[in-house]
Amino acid sequence: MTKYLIRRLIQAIPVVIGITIVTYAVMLSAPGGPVERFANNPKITLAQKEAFKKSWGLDQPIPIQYGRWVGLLNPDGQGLGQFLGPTGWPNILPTGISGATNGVLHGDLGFSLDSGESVARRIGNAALPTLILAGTALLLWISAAIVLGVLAAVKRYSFFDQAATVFSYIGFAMPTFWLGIMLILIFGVSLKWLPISGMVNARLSPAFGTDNYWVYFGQNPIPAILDIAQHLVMPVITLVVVNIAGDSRFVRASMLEALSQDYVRTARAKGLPGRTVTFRHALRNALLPVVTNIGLEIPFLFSGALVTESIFSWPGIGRLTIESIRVFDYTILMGVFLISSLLVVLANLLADVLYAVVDPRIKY
Amino acid sequence: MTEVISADAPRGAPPERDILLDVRNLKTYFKVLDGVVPAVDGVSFSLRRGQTLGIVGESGSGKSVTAMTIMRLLDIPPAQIDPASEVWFDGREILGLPMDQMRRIRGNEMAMIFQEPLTSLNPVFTVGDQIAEQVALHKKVGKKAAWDRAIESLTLVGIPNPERRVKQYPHEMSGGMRQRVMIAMALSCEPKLLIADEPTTALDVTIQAQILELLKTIQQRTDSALVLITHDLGVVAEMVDNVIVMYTGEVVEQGTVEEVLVEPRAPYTMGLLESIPSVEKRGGRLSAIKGVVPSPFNLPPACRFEPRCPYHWERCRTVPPELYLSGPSGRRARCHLHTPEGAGRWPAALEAHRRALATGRELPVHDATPGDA
Amino acid sequence: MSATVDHGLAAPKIKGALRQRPPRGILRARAILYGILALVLVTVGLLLVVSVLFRVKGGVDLLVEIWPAYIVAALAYIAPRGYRDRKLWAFGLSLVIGFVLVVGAVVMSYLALVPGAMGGTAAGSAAPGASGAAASGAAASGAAATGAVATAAPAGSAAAASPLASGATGAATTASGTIDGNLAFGLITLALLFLAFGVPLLWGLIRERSFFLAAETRHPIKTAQEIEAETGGFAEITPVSASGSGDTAPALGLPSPVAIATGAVDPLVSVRGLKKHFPILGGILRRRVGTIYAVDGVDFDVYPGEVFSVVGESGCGKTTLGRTLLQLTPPTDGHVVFDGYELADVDPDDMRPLRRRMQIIFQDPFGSLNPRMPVSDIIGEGLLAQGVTNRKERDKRTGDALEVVGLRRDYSRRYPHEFSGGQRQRIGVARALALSPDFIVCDEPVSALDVSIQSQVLNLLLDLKRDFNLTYLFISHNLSVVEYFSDRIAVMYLGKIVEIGTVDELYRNPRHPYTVALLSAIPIADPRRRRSRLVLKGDVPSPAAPPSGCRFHTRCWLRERLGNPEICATEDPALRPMTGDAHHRAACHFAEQISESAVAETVETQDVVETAAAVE
Repeated sequence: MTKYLIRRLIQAIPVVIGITIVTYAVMLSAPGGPVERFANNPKITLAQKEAFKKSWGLDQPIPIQYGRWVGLLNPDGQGLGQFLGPTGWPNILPTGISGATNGVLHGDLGFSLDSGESVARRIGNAALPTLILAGTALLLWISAAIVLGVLAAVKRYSFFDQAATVFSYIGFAMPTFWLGIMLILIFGVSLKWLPISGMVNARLSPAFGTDNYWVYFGQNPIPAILDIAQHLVMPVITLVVVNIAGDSRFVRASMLEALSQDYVRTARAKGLPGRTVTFRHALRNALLPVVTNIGLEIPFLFSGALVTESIFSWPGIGRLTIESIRVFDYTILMGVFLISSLLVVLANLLADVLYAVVDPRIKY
Repeated sequence: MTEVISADAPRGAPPERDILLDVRNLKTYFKVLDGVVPAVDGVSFSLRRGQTLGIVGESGSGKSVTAMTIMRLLDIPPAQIDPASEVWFDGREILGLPMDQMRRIRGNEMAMIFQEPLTSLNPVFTVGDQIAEQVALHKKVGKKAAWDRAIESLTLVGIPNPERRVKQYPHEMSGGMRQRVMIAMALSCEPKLLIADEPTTALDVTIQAQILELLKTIQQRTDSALVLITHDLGVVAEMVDNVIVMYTGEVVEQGTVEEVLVEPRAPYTMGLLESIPSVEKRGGRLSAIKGVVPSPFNLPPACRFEPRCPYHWERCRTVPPELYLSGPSGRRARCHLHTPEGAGRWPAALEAHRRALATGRELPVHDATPGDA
Repeated sequence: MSATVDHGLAAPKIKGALRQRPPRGILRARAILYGILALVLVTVGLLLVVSVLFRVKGGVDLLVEIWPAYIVAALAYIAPRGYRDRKLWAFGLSLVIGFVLVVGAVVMSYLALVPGAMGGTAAGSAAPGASGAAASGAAASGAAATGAVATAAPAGSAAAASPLASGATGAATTASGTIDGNLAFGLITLALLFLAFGVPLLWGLIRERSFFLAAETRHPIKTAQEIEAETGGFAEITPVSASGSGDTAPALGLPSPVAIATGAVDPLVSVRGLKKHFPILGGILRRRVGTIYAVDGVDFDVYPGEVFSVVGESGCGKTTLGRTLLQLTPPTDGHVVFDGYELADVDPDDMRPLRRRMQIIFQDPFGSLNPRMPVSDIIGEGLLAQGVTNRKERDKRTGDALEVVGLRRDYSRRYPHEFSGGQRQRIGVARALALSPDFIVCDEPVSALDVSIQSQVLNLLLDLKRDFNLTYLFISHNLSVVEYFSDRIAVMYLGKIVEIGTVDELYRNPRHPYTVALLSAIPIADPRRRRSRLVLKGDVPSPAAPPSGCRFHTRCWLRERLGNPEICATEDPALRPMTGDAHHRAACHFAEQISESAVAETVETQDVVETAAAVE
């Protein structure tokens, strides 16, 4: 197992390098460029644009730009000296040795072109709301999908099974934006039961994530949590309804397959009650592929849901992404893409490892 | 997954005490899209305590469904058991038992061994878990005692190092070992009846020999009755006392193993025996039963073997044969040759059979009749 | 590998060898050359599309600019033509291409790394060769990247190198004379790409130069056409009238033992020292951590007209033997001589006329027929591969084959699921038979069938053998079928033959303890002959770790009876002739100790419950 992990991690290195190159290349080849953000601003002259480019280092050759972004090159160095950090050690080494602080390798994702804040900080601020929203939704839809799928399989072709199928497909077919807007119209605008946007009530508490907010949170934890929970209801419902279909169908198929296996027949022949047969013998086997599937859904916890977050103005990664696209904030987009891709790589590894843990037949 | 509901039809009287299993006119149908498949169509037999019975037939003959019906393992629907069918086990009629009572019999007084030992064991539990689970359920003992019992049963079936093996998963064992585990599991509650459905078909010859000898030894030692389901006449000849031969859901012949295999009375049994390759037939052709098993949706109107039978005459197409007495000891065969009308034809048929056994029978070269008419 | 002496079989007579498959280095060189060709073509295509679609100025000029790439591509197309015939010119041409690539890489690295090498005029017009090479390579590397969008960097450098470069990336050279970083980057990338193609190409060619330089073998090398001409092409099969069989005794075509002994009959198939090992991969680097010795040194002859059977339990290597013999998987070592032609390691293209004459019937009638193909295609595929391109002709032959196996002609339009198991197996037979083979490997053809259907198929196989003069290698685990069906038998255990002989000898007078146990294990359908069996202990050991010495010694009843002599565990017994019959061979140190009383006594003392306890 350890050997397998080491092998997989070694295999991941070229993948990660490839991801950084592709991320960079995609950004580079996107039409426009960072200075396009001034395209509609007649006051900015061509010379000023060139000056902006120069100050952002965009006048440098592409490999050098990439090297600086990754952290291989020291932006303050000259010639071959660029490879060396402030302390004289190669720039690529950890900050403690080389003294270098620039580049992805040293945890520096650059500065937002729009606000000038550090990218890491912007992403960090948006990550917690997304984790809360996506985590709640993921937890709910996976548990609901397992329950629905198993029951539908056990009572195959029953009314419940048919109903679950219909419900799944309706949810599957419903566009997210339409469902979200309908929820807002009904429960937010007409009935006024639930807040329609944001994460916290702006009249009662400071904006989420600010230092003031945490002070407020420390003083009134229970109202603060309830406030967030209220805001969570509608986006979570949207996400669960839309996503439950695929997973519950998957669980149902997997459970049906397990129920038709010979060992289930053996379990019944042993005289075990139907409950034990279903939930001990069949379910355990049916969940093996489901575990893998869940592992692959983990990156969602970071990347979030673009449309849902935008509709409900949820201050998470999804909304950050959409806004950054609108204002040509290349550095933030690159940061988000990079982290999401890394998470996908890790999630794949995690899924494989999980599978080996739950299935005694798999040995690496 | 609804289980069978108790049938309201009046039940006959229980059989005599010595008879452990009495199956009376068992009919199991499957309702499928294309129609109704009569998988088991009026099967009756009885088995005394400690005896062995062989059920022989080719694929599609209904032998496995018979066993599954007795164990009540079939899903109803699609399966459907005729309400008039009765299965008496140890003095009780079990087709009408409520499911929770049936479960107390299953695995406890009546146990089953399946064909494919790899898929029949749950891959995610250790073999010890799987045996102990059954013991704890039926014998109401603690975890420790059940585990000890599991080790004991593994020892009984000759698995070396049972203390270590008990903690292994099925995939860590060889095919023969797994079948031993299945047998150990079946024996763990000391059942009165053991049903073995093709227990050696998936195994190699030398391992098959091991398992058959083991079944024989254990059956003698524990004095349980054994129903052995197989397509292999050789296995039947070496293992059982009585035998029934099945074809398209019906019993076509029954008797002691010596009677049925040495002097068969039904043309189907005769054909099966003739088609076994043997050294005497070298250089000649094997006699084959021509054609294929008829589709269950399109069975011949009277005798179901008639289209493939070398001895058929017009009566076989009009009158469905019953299981006629065909010998002094109460043996029976489903063939008109054993009625007064057919008695005249019997000596010739017997002669043809003897010749075919000795030399192989010459049949037309291309004896495959197309599967569809 | 030289033929070992101890197998005791005569060296096969060899009419000719076939052209050998080129060694791996040469195959790789060929792949690289085709890769270069493909890359240039794709690049040109992309450039064309881009310049037409987006009206990019200078796109067409760039196409002209990269003319050296076209020359290289043309050479890369021409050179492999001469590989199969080991032409020296092909070798030379490939070397030239390799050198051009490597030299080009060096030149470009020099231009990119040494300041001023390109001179102040580089932006305007560089030396045609260098800039051309750079441009072609740039385009090539562009194609190699994931897609058009991801190629901004190298494409930019190409634009810079071309005289028509617009100002997108600024001037190609700076005032100081050092070239632009992007151009340098592009050049270096190109140089690396050139090296990645050029170095392995040269390395493979130079390492395997003997393939071109010394083209002699011991036997004359024949081409497919020559063999086809010699064997008289491939005949149609004609259905035999159904009534024709009568009581003509099916001729068992086995030549008399005398004829075999004096060498009057040449074997149809000779197998010498055949080995097939499969690697077990593991560890961090997926290195080979073990070996499965599936077939481990097997020698035998199959004579024309006989049924030669191979029996053994699962895992003994009998199926692998059949497939390796037919070269469906390349053997690890050893020779197979079919009708005088050496088969091992031949070029697959030259196998065609011989492959037609050697067919196989598979075990599983459900898995071995493609469910989405009608029967006409299943059977016709082989015919098509043998050059029967006329649809009508193919349909006729397909129909003939179906009729010969007792199915109706018009079944050819149906799909496999419409047939029963026995009928499918007949289709499998028809597929093999349509090619009018001489030799058929029957890999457990009746194991999946019911008894009554099994005998139909066995009868069919015997009829066909007689009508078409076939020779069978019959692989089975069913000893009753084998006894009825075959002339000679080889018993395999863990990749080796432990006993070989005629049916009569082997069944009446088995000389290997494993054969004795196998025979004893057959259940006999006669209750009057009910008897105790000789039951072997334990399971077959893993073929990845076969026991030392005699492979059977861990389960051997005879060894136990003789007090576990040391020699069994240390020395691998040779397959030696038994007294009385030179063709009956057994690989046991104590073959002479086997007697009926020994068997009977062993049966009496064995304990079935202990039989699981072999060496674990």
